[in-house]
Amino acid sequence: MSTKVDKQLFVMPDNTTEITTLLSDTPIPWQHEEQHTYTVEYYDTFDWRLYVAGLSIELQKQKQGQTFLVCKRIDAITAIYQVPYTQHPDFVWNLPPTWHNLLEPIIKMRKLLPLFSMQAKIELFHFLNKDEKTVARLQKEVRIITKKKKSKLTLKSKEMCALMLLPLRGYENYWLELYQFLHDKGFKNTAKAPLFLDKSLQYLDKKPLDYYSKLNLTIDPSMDAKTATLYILQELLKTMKANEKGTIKNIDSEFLHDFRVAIRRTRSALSQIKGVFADNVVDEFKQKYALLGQWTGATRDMDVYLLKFSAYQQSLPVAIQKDLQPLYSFLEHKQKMEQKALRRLLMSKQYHDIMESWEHFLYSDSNYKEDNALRPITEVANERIWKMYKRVVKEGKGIYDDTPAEALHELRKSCKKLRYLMEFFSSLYDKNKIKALIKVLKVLQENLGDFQDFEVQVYHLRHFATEMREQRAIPVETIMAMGVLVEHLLAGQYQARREFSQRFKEFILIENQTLFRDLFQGAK
Amino acid sequence: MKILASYNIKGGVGKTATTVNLAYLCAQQGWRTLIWDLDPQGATSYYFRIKPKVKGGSKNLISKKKIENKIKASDYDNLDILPADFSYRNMDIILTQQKKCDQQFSVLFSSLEDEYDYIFMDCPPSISLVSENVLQAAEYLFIPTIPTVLSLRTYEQLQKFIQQHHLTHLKLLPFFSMVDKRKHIHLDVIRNAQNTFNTLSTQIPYAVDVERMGIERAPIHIFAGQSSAAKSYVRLWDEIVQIIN
Repeated sequence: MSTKVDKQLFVMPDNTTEITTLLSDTPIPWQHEEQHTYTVEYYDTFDWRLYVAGLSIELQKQKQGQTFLVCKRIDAITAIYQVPYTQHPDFVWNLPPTWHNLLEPIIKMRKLLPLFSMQAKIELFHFLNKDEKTVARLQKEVRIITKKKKSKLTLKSKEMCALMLLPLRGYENYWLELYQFLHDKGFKNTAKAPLFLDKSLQYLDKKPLDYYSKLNLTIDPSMDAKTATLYILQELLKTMKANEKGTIKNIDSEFLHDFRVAIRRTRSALSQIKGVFADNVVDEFKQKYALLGQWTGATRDMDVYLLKFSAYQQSLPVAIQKDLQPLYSFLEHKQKMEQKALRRLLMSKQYHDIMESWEHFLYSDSNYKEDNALRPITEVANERIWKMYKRVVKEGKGIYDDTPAEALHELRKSCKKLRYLMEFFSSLYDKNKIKALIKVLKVLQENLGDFQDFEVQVYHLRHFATEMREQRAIPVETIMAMGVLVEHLLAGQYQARREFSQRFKEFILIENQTLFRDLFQGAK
Repeated sequence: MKILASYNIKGGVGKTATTVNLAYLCAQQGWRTLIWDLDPQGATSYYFRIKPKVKGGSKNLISKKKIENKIKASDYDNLDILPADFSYRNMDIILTQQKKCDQQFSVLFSSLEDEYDYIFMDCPPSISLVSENVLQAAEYLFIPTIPTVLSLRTYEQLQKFIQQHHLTHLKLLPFFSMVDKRKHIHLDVIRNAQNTFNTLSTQIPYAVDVERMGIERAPIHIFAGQSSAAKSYVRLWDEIVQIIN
């Protein structure tokens, strides 16, 4: 339990000190608890979500005894949570319920993966009052991290040590007395807890944040269009490769999500950054990438429905929520089948050939004769973004309350193209201005996305109901619950359609138009 | 946050042992747990080697609603204690002076919502304004009951009181405590009462190890983890957890 004195942790990185000698004339009697040895395994998501949030999760296995799962702030000594745990942590919904409030918004759907493990030796000294109640603790913690020496089979290890004076709630006075005692012995306190995690990562040459799912491109304005486009596509290929293994293994649904986003961005870059590569090359790879998009679509759909399921269930009246459960089992089964098919495709020769030819194209030194290839990227980016922006405005202005849904779908696609272009080239523009415009566009996209998503969900749910009926006897209550769900989704779609004109009006506000013109019309 | 209380109008039925051992097991499972030792005799505080003293006494606690700075850590992970205080014997008077005098504990606990997953109250025997506050604030009531005719009669009185006061939110969890299987009378009472009173299936035996808690000043699982009484508390907690969840 955290206490007020937590902020003044007393940490002494020193392994040579003989504690019993040190404590020989302490003002408060103490009892020594024999040393415990643990294996400590650190966990985080593939994209370091815990680390970014300043947290760590450790599985501490006592050599002869219990295993604990511990959640800490990286720079704190005391745990936020500590529970006996018998499995390996994986998804947030399988962690103890009391952890959910803190961790659910951070980890979301990602799986916790083991980062590395180390040995820990913990020695405890309990300070006791006259009732033999523990009033403070001194903890000596030694952590040993081992790594294989490069290109050799020998092991190399590093030892880290910390001595920590731990307060107990309601007994802070004892802590202060002991703090003074240790201070007088010449120990200096440090404000922070020992950063075992950071030091170990450094020692193991593991770089935190080596994967980041958001596009983070830095394009030099002096680049020509060919160089910049190749750079964008190479980075997207790296993202695909980083997510390939996780997608094949189905570690969590975000691998496939990021894999697919990279595919879509690649297709968009190929078709939207025009006049850089030869038409036949663009056509060839657009087709190949369209195929990859197709392959991955069905599994992603099932992932999305499984992730949405709990929200679906909660949108129903409590009395019929459980009736929807058979849909979950159906989706789960279907996801497994689709994932199996996807796995097969991603391990096929065809996929291997596509990736190989693409990589060869991206890294081979070809001669680019197309009109835009050698023009400065800034000019090409300005032209393309401005043109796409004008298209969005034109299409949006043509939509009235009675315009058929197809027009909104077309507008949605144009907005997506515009968004990708703005994101590819964002480093060429004023950071705050482009960020503000992306935000404005995002609001419109969300509305269009909702409109489309609700429609697709209704379409799919109807199909699922038919499929479920064909496969086996499905309770009539489930069909009825799905009916109520469809009704909610249709109401959501109707609501999104009603809100469109207002969202679009906001998008084309005069100040936004001016900002778009200022940023991108430079080339005109 | 779940609020539980160990309560019986009768004294000497094993309320404190129940609180101490169940709260310890709860904390061992990783739940952030607080015990409030409401009995001015301070037996729970004694078991945890904590001085039965609260700064400012009942008055400061009830009228100022300052609870956080009065909590003490126990020697065990995740388990804190709000100790007893001799002034609790006059808590009824202080409660009477408050508006909504039977809901003061609920207000007090609301500030602990983010800090604890479980609050256990160890209550003094009797029916008083303090116990009315307990019954209002708690969601589950453990009722350790010795298998004797008089104990069952007291349980009926409690049921009646709860009905009369419309405490419909309260779930009663009576169970037999201090059971001596050598006594025919205990076995007879249990046989007759188990269905009528809907008691939990776990029974806590009469055991020297439970009494030793006063000597060892620790939950039974610390010094006699393998004893049949310790195992009974584990079963009891498992049974309660299943009901709660």
